[in-house]
Amino acid sequence: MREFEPTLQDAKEYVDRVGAADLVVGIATYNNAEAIGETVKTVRQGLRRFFGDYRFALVNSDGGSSDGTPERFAEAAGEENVVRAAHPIYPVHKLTAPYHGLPGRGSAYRTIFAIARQLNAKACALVDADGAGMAPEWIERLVRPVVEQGFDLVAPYYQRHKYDGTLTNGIIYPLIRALYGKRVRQPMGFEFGLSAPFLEYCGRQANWSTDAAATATDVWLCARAACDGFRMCEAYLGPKPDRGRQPAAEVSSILLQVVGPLFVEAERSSAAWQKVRGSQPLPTFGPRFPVKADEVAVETTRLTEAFRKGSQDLREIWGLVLSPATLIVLKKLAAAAENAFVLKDELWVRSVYEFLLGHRQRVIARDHLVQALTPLYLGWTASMIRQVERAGPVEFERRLEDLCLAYEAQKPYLISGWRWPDRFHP
Amino acid sequence: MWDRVNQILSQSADRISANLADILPKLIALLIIILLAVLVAWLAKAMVRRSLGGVRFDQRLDELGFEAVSEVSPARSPSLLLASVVYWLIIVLGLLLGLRVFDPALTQGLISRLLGYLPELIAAGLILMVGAFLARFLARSVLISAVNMNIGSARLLSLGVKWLVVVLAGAMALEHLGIGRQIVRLSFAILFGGIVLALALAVGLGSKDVVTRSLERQASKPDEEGEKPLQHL
Repeated sequence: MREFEPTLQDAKEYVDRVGAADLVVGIATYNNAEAIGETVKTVRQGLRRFFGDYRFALVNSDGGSSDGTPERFAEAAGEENVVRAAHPIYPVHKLTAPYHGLPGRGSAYRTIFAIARQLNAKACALVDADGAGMAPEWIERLVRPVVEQGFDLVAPYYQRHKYDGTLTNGIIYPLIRALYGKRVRQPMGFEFGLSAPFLEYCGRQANWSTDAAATATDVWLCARAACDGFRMCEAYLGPKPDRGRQPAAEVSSILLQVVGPLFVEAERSSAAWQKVRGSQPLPTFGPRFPVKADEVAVETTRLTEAFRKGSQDLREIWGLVLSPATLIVLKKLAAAAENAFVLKDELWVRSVYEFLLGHRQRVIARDHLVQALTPLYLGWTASMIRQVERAGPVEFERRLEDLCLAYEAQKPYLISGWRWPDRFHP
Repeated sequence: MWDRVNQILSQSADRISANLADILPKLIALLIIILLAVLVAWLAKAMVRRSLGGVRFDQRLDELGFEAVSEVSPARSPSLLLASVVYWLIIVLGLLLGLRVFDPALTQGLISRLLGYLPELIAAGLILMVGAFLARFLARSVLISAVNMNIGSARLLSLGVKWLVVVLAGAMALEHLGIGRQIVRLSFAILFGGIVLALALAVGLGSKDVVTRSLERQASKPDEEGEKPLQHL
């Protein structure tokens, strides 16, 4: 067995008792006493039903719950192998509401990964402590591609409504796809499957404690796997559960936590993504399901108003980030009538790329830059919702594909801006 | 009598020409020193710019997170700022050297007084610089947050914060230099107190109803409108 990491001394007793395990299911918790019992029960069912021949262990990394979550976890786990560990939650984690609603998630995953390596696990699955809506089959879909087909990262694919995940659809998915050439449709979630080599890779990362890994761990995992050549696939899991967390409510705060780290990752891996052209779909597992497209009322006027206000009040800041040509078109759009408000893909993609270039150039403080993107994003959201108002699942997917292709088509613009920044920010 | 007048006139002319003969070479020396100083300053400025450009000083400074320096620099170039500082230092030095030709004692006194005052001057300059950075940073923070929170007078708020910090930094710098201590302190207290009072009155009295309506709207939004909230992630 490898040398025990000093940060995991609390878990040493449990790890010594378990010895080794082929499969590890990690659950990060923080005051989840109500839900954890049901989650652990579902995980046990999944493991026993689909992986009865394997040695497995359940790992719980807790951030200092005050409601007895670890005890409930141990009770629900029964006679299974359990490793209990603790990850630190610093006051700063409690001050800012994370977009995923679980403070200290980065530290928790790091602890789980370290224990999985310690147990010489062949595969590690991550699941949410609040497993409402989770089925035992999820464990199979997250683990089997790793242990039987040699995939390194299994990303979740939830069934969602066409209006949900607008930030994922508008920036995160198309940008990761255009940069790294892998179509990871939903890079954000709580459920992942990881192989031993990928766990080893994550453990070796010296900058694991940086913003990208600590704040947006899910995005970081996908970006790293896509960039550094790990084999990826997607698991169709089912409808995305509505979990009772209190995530960050402010859009600008969500952007800061998700888009900021992604921009940082893009800077770190610029040498790699500049060589990538086009994109490849990922293999999928599980029964396919279409996007939900039932009619839902969404008021978009508030969003366009936010865009207009941003265009007026933030014009000096946008002027530092965006090129004059982009600015002029955005200004015209701000003056357009409500029913003619359409933010074209080309303009949107160019704006996102120019924000990425400005972030790299540090034209203004990076937090300010990412937050200044908020009104523009809200404008795009309004425009997109109107465009897909009557679209069915197929039309919606086609519309999203067009956007992604626009990202890919304009990548040379990003690359030239990256290589010759003076031409863009004189 | 005419002899006496002639004598006085010739004495005056002698004195004037003696004074001119005394002062003219000094003036010429001063001009030469200033010209030399300008030449040396120009060369030094060019050298500083060239060498800092060679080591990509501006980019490195930005990469290290000091982008605020670029923002306050002429043409967004910290190396140009440094080169300008070197240029003007040499010019001032040349001027002091030039003045020394006229009266070494006076210049000596001036230099020692200036040198004695220099730390205060540098400290005041630093206070002003930090104040300027802070003012710009806070103004942007307030502006972006206010726009994202859909607050009506975002630009006005941002401008208010900017000038509040600038005035505070200016008052601190003047206090440090010992210029009009009491007046600056009193003016600042009156100005600052006045602004705070005005804001409190404006919000407390003028916007009472607006705030109430806004809070009520916030509290009852989901029930009233029955809309699906957007899930961004």
